[in-house]
Amino acid sequence: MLNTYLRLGLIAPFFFAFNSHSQVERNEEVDDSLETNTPVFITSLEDLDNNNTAGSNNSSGLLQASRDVYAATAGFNFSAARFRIRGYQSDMSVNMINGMPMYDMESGWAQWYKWGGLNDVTRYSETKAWLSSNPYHFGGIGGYANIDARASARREGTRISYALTNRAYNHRLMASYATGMQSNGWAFAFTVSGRYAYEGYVEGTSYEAFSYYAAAEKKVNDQHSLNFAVLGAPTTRGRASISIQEAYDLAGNNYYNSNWGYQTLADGTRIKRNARLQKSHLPVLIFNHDYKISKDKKLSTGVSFSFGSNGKTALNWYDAADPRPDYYKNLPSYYYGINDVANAAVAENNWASVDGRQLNWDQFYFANTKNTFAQENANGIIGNTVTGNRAKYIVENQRNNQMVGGLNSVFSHTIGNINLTHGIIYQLQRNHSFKTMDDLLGADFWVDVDQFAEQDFLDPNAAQNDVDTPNKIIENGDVFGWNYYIFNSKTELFNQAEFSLGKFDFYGALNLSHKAFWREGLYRNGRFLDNSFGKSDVNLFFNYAVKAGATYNISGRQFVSVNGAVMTQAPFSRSAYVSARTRDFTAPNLENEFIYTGDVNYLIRYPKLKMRLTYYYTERKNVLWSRSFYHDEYRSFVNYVMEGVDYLNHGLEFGIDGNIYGGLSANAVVAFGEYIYNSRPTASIYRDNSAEVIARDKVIYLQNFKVGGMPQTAASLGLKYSGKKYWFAGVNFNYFGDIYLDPNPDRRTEEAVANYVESDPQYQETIAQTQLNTDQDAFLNNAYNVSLFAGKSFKISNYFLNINVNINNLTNNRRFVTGGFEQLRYDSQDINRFPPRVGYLYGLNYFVMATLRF
Amino acid sequence: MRKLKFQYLFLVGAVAALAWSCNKELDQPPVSQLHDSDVTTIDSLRSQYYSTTTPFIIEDSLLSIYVTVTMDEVEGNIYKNLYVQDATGPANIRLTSSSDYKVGDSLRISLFGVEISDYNGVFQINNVDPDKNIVKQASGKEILPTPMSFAHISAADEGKLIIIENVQFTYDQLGNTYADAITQSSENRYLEDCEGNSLYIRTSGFADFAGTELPSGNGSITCIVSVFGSDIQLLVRSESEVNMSGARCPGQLVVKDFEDNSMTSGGWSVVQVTGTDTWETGSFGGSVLTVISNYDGSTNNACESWLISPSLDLSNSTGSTLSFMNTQRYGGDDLEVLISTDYTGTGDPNGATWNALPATLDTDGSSWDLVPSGLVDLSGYLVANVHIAFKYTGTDSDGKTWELDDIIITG
Repeated sequence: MLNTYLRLGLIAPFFFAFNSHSQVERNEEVDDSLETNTPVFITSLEDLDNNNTAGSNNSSGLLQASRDVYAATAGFNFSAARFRIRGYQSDMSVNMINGMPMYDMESGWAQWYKWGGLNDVTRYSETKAWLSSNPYHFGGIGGYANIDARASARREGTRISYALTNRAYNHRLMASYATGMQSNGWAFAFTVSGRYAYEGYVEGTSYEAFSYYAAAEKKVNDQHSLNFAVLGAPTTRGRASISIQEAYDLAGNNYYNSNWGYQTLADGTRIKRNARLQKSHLPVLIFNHDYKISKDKKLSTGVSFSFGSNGKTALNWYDAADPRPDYYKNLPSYYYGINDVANAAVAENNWASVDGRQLNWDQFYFANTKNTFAQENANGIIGNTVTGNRAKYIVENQRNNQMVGGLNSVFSHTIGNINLTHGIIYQLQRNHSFKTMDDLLGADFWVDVDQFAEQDFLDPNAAQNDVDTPNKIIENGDVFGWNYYIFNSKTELFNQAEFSLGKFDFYGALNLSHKAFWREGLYRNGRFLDNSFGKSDVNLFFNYAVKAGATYNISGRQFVSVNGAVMTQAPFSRSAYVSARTRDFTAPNLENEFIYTGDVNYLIRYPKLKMRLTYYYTERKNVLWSRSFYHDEYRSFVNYVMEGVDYLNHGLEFGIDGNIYGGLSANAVVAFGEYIYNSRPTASIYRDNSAEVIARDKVIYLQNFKVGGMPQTAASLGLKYSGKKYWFAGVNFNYFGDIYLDPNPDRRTEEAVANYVESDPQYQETIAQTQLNTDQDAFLNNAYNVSLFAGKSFKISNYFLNINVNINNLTNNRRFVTGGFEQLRYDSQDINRFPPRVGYLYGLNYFVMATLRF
Repeated sequence: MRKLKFQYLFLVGAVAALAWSCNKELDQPPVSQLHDSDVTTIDSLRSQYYSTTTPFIIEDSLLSIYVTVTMDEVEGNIYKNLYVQDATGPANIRLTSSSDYKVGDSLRISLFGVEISDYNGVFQINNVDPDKNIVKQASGKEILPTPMSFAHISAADEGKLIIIENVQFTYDQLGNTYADAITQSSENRYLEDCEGNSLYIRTSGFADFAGTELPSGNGSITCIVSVFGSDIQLLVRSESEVNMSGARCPGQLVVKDFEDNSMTSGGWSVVQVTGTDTWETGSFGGSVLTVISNYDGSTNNACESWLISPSLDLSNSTGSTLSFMNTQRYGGDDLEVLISTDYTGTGDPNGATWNALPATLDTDGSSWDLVPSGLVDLSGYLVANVHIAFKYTGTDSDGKTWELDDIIITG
């Protein structure tokens, strides 16, 4: 019976090794979008200024996010429920600084954490949430955001703000100073910011971040100006986990975090320690040359460089039981499932106390000091015996250091009523992945061998992660485990034309790009002597992208617009390298994705009534999908790769914002989408620490499954009052629907249901998709939140003081499941045995900020 | 007007596009359909097997039976097998490995590759892989046991889940455990009903309740009927289904086991007619019994000593029996087992009328092993004042040693 669990046997204790990465980024983004979108609602002295500087003479600017009630609501009210505009992830839009794309070339993901906390710099980024013309870059089908980091773009003066919040962090202090363009042609701007929480909203999480920005600009003459800017955000965060409902119920807390535990210090005090820290510092340096060739010709050239360290810590163990409290064998349900009532009671008793349901650091230290071991032939030196306490438990730091350089040059000129833009962009990125020993937890050393291979292979070399230094003794700070570079290079040529014809505005753009990626192994792995070390073959891709759009001005107040794009996209190296940690081995058929998308929009823009209704349709085809999981029986990561995944995203977007009377206005937003898997992909499963192929080209019956983890329906009703004395207040009620668990592909295979006939309940239980928040007895199935915001501005001589407050989830609804995923491990005889991991909307949370400007 | 039309057209078109796309059916991996012809019954398999009594293997990949578990492995009395029933009858399922299925689970058992046979008379579906052949359909569908009585249980009931009311463990079993939990060996324990019918339960030494002492009262037992060759064995699923806390059979008027070291408790009396050697209690092998001998270590002495029961009222009885355990050694007169309907209860019993009862007495003079008397029928004496007596007679030249225990008179 136990074998049934291992139909695939995948388990995700290091759950979603890669996915969790994106989860963290997603959270980061949510945090930031909460803040960056705050000013959208500010009707203050500052806002008036802002409106004067924003804007575009192009009518596609009608859709600009800061003016669009739909985009603003999505950013401010929907993001806490993981809403994604059009269901796109961050790889479908492009973030830029001074027109230079900034994203992780390995994965396509945005990297807000590079400049987190610099809200004074980033808040007024030029943002478009969907397909449109783009003066810097072809962009993504999900739009773009460009941060203008030039010193002269910063408002002259000093700005100091303090924010108090109970979200990821508790305190934020920020100070900015900018000279503006001075008569000597120089402009300087600086921002520093610090964010801190001993413990954030979720127990055991912490936040220590510092951020800095400095920019200098020299206006050489009316034609030339030179800019230099540096941004960075050294950050250490203690992360939250996402767990199963049983753990939440046992802990009595839907925000239970399995990542932390108490540690007793030498003086007897007990501190909360989180095993999963994110530590990053990746400064961005950017140099720009703006050249106004003539009244209608402009050349902008930039060089950027970013580098630094990025890592996530995690527990690891050798010759010891899995210590994580929500590991399935530490949960009562496991024992009830095997009719072992006695051990179930033991597990239940453990979970009843805080110490029992959190990590036990003291035990790790104790075990590490009682494990004397003599490693013979240490570090590959025959006869070299190292004796000491060999670590049973460690904290390792899984590093992904980046170094990326970029060069862009964009030439724009106007001929009559035609704006032309031509750009060339080159980027080269090196990701260096390796592990370092973060903390031996009191032991003397760790030996760099693969635990499973030690037992499974006769050849003693096979266990060596670095066969050139066998039996490597690892002390704090040492590199071990895996060590390799992934290089990505991309060259893009971009051309865009915008012109007007009667009541029509048109734009069209073409992008041609060339992408290459390759791996360079720095360790010769004992299991893969032939393909682990040195430079791999280069994988090359050529891609094109075209987009076009038209706006018809019906009456000056009503518009109709259409946009469309067709493109191919190279696979990302993170998915392509199936087992990059150990070897050069890519998915067998690396092919381009094919994407096409279009939208039709109807807009009304009266001074007191603005409305937009949009239908969009996007197909993304032939996507390479990969997930990497820790497998407790193999003591190894297992890589699950799906090829030929197609997605279909389409839906309606509606936003209306109107003035009712005096300062009172109301708005309503509806997002009604359908995001589904649109093909039957094939999957192959590879083990990380051996050449074993667990399965090859399984057909995944995934057609029409919903993409999970985000609401496909969302609606918001808002009221806002703006007082005459520079104050405002508003409230929004938000509802979410159609949130699904993202399906585990392996459950939708012929193999998974091989023993079943159609009438067996397990057949549907295994393959059916779970919708979340379906409690019919609960108000709106619990899937709602209420947010409140208010602000006031004061002018005291030359000082401006703004107070802003926003409160999210005013009713403290703690039962709204905002997302989750099925574990890759399953028992199709009893599908509830390995339940999904789910996350809940935070209860009442607030963000209060005071800003002083002079 | 033109603008408005466009507006509506657009809205209608967009909603239509979305409506068209919604409610798309989720993909499904291919799966077999089970038709009526693919479902068989236990009775059909049973008849097929017993028509030739030749084991056979099923090669039809879809053929299935739908059954409900009537006995599981949870309490350990059976291992790597299950008892199940469908509407047509019961079967024993022999598994290739232990399973977590529980009583009340409704299962589809795919018969592909399994063997249909019997094991010492137990009809079995053999070689069933719990992971591959068994698919649980539901749980909590417990089948109620069929009420039955000892008199009616036969080998034809093999596999059935039954409940028997008003039964008790035989007196000689009391104090024992269900099985030997220490050496983990199986034991047979006899049950009887008030009519004197008896069968035994067989319990594995691995059962969770193997070390539990048998209940001493009377009540009901839920069990599975099993067979071993020509023997009928009952299998207890759980100790909680042995509910014997009631009074033992109402007709069982007298039990004299001497465990209280008293000759006269319960109204018994000893009447000495001749000599001084008399009935006394004695302890042998942990059990207390009564013993009499006219040998004083060097010589025999003339002796007549009566062990007499209290007055028994058998007038409401429909049938009465006597049973006891006995053993003897040495030369001399046999013990007399007597019954009287006119003894006054005191005084010399020789003044009353006594008839001999046909009890089985020990004939093996070389051992002290107690032997059962057999059920001695007292149905000829169903009146108000009945006494039973054990009369010992010895002479100056010889005399046996008699031991008696567990005298039970039922009514």
